Amino acid sequence: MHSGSVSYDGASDATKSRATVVSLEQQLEELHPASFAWALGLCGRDADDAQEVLQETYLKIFEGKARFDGRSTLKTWLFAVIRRTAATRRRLRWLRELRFVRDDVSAVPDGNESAERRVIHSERTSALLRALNRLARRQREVIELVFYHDMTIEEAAGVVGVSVGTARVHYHRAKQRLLAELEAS
Amino acid sequence: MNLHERFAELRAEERRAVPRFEAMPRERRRRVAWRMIAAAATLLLIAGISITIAPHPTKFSDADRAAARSVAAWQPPTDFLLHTPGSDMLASTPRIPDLKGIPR
Repeated sequence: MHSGSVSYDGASDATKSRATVVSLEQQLEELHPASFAWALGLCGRDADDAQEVLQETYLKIFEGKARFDGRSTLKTWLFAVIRRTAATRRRLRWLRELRFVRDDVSAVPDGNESAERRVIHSERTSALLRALNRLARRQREVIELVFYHDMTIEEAAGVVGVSVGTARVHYHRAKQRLLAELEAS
Repeated sequence: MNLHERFAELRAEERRAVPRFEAMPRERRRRVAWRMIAAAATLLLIAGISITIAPHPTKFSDADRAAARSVAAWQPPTDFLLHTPGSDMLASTPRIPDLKGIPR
């Protein structure tokens, strides 16, 4: 479990502040693979999008726009920040697309997708992803947090920003539907 | 069917695509916001033109009025030189005497 508070008794304020930043950076580095995987899930498995969401999240943290107050684990807080950043990005993209539709320009894809950054999935995991995509967004998020990121339902509720009861309902419905979809495929 | 196993496979596949943490930016690149600069310049231009074109109502303060009164009341110290002997005659109209009864 990660905690954001580190004790630096006897050090000056500047030293403490620097040590806190270094400590936070170390903890972010430890959580980096999991953070990227979470961002990947939120961005429809688009690696470039996920990387940009993660970059934006880290910048928010380093600039002090998102502060860890120690009310949850660092991982839960970080995942919630990533989720909010991805949601903002999704909204901005939606607005941009609306404008493109009205202007009727730039709607043509440039074919410049970075193929090397795309994640290659096996047939088995592709089937799992297809089944995941059929779930409602909240259900998908809760199930991914529990099964992919080994979080408890309580932690997943903290990340998604719903009550534990609601998260439990999402979890059970998502699990049933996911199993049914996988058995059918 | 074990969901934990399926997700573990997915995690293992996606772990290969994780970008290096060191490559993540630590500070935002400062981009020159040309649009903002252009908008600010346009606003300044409009404000300047409006100030130039708009009629300015004249407003005199009490001090301005007092200064104007003192200028109007001022008399030059050489003013007495204009009062020459007989200058009163020039300032008034002469009266024509009554010529009745005067033999021609």
